Amino acid sequence: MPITLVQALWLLIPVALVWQTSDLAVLPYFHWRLDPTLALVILAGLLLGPRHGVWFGLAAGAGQDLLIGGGLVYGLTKGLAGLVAGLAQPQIYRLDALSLALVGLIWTIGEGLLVALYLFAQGRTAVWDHFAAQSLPLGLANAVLIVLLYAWLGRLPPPEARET
Amino acid sequence: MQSHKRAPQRRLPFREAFFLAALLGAAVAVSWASGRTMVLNEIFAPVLGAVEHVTGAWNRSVDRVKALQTLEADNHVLRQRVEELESQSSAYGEQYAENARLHELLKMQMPPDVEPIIARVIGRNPDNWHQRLVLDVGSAGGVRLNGVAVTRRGLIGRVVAVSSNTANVALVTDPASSVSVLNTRTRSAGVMQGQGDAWPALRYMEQPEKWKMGDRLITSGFGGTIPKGLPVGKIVRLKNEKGAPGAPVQALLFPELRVAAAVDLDKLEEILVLPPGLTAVPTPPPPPSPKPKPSPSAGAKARGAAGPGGAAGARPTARPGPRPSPRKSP
Repeated sequence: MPITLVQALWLLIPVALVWQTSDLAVLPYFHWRLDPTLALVILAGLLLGPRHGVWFGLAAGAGQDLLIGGGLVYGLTKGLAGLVAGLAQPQIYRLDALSLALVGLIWTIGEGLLVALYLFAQGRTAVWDHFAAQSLPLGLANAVLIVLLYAWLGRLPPPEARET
Repeated sequence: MQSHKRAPQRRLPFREAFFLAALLGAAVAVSWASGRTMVLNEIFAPVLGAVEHVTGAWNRSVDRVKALQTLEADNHVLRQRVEELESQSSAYGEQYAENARLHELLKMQMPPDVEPIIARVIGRNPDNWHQRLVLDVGSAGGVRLNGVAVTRRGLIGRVVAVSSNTANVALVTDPASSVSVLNTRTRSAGVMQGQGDAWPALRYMEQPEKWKMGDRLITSGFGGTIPKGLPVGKIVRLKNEKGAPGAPVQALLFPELRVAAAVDLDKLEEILVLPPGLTAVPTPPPPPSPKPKPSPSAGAKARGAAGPGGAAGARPTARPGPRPSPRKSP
């Protein structure tokens, strides 16, 4: 029985979270941590629609918040990422490597911006230097990651294909 | 008439053989009589050597053929053995390094009635904004919320979340971390706030114009959670520029100083967790110093300086006495 896209995503999200907590997710030269859960959430939104995108985003983000030790900032930002990706999907002319990479780059920077605003609202004034330094290399790395993940996940059947 | 010519008969050389045997017998008799009992060995040694050479080569060839039959199996067994030994060697090396690190941690002198908990770092924050550690000990192991995480070199952070078997420590570089610090040179206080990167910022400093690059910071003990006197780090940056040591901070109206933590926060494997609200600070072991030559006058001076009951230079907060054994994470 072939695995469906939804099953694969539910399996991959815990794996991605564990990967993110380890030092294996740190980019060697830049010392920034990759965000494979964001890549999975964006793919979930693009391939399965906004409703799945929101649920995957909330679940993955909440898992990330729990690993950090509290808060709901990533639950909200990743839920929003899944929703936006799902809503943007009909507007995208064709899902190819370039469009996927652009969505990944833009939303990685967008998520960084939201977290920076959240921290700024808490009184951390030095977050903008951090944001400026991390957003571009991390966005580019996530763009590549999304394209690589799509090369595999894009071949899996969506849930309705299995039902028919 | 047919004449038959008879072929000459070949005669065995009895006479020469007898002569040689007699000569040999005489030689043996003479040698025997003169005490050389190994004479036959000497005579036959070249022959024995040649025979041994041939038989030895034969035996070796046979052994080699026999060994070829078991060579593959032996090779397999030996390769497995090499892998086992390499794995054991690697594991022993890792255990040795861990043992050395734990030994360093345990050298810290704890205040009386303080039971530190040794915890292993099993994970880190899964994002780029927080600076947190996941420990393998939780409330079941005695870790409490706001517990203080330290190493021998100084403060690491504070416990911000506890489950029964894990705990999260916000490092001093975490955006949620604020530590009240003292400048060891000017004794003025400030607040060190994590910014999510490697350099926490200093805020709310008393007499900010007196703070200089290179000043060392310790915890102030204000707030009552973190004990006073733990090394925190030193001032290394003004805004994003690297400052020269000793340079005063007068360039800006609101100077933003950055601090390099005393502990290398990227390379933490085992740490100590202290209960919150300690008033006495654990002290690292004194550095090893060369022993001075014993002389009666020097010994008397040292005893006098130490006083009747304590060692010279001992901190009042680290009273010598029975130190409770630290709990190791399961």
